[in-house]
Amino acid sequence: MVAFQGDDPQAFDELLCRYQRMLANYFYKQCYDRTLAQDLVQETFLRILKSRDRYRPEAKFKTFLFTVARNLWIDQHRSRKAAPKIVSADQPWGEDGGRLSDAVPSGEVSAERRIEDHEAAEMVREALTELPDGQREVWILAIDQGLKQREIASVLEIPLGTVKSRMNAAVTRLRGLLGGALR
Amino acid sequence: MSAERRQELLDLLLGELDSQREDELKSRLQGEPELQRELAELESLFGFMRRGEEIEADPAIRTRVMREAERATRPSFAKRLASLPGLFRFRFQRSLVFRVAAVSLAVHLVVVAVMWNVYVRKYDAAPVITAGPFIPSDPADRPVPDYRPDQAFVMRIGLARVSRSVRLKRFGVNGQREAIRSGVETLLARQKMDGSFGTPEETAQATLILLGEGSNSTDPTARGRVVREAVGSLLRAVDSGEQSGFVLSALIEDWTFSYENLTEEERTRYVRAMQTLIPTVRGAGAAESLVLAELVGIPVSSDHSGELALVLGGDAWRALDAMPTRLRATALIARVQEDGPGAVGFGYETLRDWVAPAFQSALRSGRSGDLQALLLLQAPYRL
Repeated sequence: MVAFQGDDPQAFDELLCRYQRMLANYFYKQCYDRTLAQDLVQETFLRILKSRDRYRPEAKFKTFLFTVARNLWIDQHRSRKAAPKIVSADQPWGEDGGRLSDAVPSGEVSAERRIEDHEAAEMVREALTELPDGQREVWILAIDQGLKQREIASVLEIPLGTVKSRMNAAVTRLRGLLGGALR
Repeated sequence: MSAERRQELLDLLLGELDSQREDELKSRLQGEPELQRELAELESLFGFMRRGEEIEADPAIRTRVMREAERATRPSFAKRLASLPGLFRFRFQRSLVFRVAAVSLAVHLVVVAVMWNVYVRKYDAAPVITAGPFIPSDPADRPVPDYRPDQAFVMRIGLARVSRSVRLKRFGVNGQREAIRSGVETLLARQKMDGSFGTPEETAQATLILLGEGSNSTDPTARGRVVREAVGSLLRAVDSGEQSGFVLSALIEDWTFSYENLTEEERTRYVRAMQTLIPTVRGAGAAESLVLAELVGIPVSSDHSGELALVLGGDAWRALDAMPTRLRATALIARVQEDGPGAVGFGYETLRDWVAPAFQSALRSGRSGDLQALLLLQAPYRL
């Protein structure tokens, strides 16, 4: 990021390659809308592009990245509440709750495994959806994105103790929701 | 299980513990099956949750964002200019800034040239004067005017400068002052070469015209400054040793007006100039005597009455005493007619000695005005 602040576009390309998938999954786990997640990834990097002068090297870039992403998600969340809901191609499709993209078989994974993964993913999605927003954010950042709790506190701008308590509450809640599946 | 214990296990799974605490916790786990079971359940939960669906970022994102990044990091115009080689940079500047400046300068030069040509044709059709208006204060450094050895011609040069410049209102006070100074200096330069200002009539006329032109040229404030400058030139002439009667006559001619416009220091110099000049011209020719006769008519201002009384009662008195009877009578009559019998300021004995022959002269001339004046003069002094 420091190199990019010095007007080196290649440095930004490196950042993009390194973090775009991580960011896409962060947004995807928040909304389970593939198109929206991709748009938000793009918008996040554009925001970083515009605010690159505000970045200070003493902060980890990952923390800076998720701070921008989280603010963008909040903005998006507010506008989504006001705007009419847009139906995505990734929304559940058909009576069995699958998606159109899932109907295309992959030659690399067996059908049995694919169904098993699909079921597990569905359960994870439902469980995460059941979590309150605050707990879900902490969970995604910690488990999926691998941020330290101190970094999460910085991104969410909440005390470290609140991060720990939310994490604890999320674990308790998920164990209750997924008790049968875990055994 | 306590919340504290569970938090420790969470911290362990999330990698929040340092190596020392991690080792401590792992060693403690060996003896506590409950903790081990809890840790296993948490690991199972984390593992299951990580089986959630993952997506790949759309490659088009990178293309779009990188396009924006290149646009954002594109060097600014100033940076690109600064990165140009020196030669190109110079050419670039010359092509814009320098060309505009050069065209502007050229246009200004053309306008000034045209205006100057119009000015010369309109106002400077007189004979070429090679002596510039700015003459050094030191007489030894003054350039010799290029003139024909014709006194009248040289005088015309000085007068032409004054009259022409006075008409040029655009010259302002400073320009007129310079012109008057130039006229006076021209005359003084000629005096330096030829040893004279020409005939007394010419020089007196020239100087008086200089003063007259100056005093009539501009508004009252500017006029005062112009006259002061002319008088200043005369005073400098006196200081430099000039003792001709024309200078004194010029001083006297505009006495009232000039005196009012002078500073205290200049007034002192003015009076001293008179004191210097009066003895030198006393008893000279008829023209100088007339000058002294005029001097008698000078109104005495209250604030300098003492100094002027010294002049009038001293050298001027002796000058009057030396005058021919006819001229002295004329002087006295002129003074009485102008300011009344009490304004003469001379003693009874003097008046008696002067008035009697003047009275006789007036009778001989047969001019009633002179007689009336003498009668008025006689009354208060019981002559």
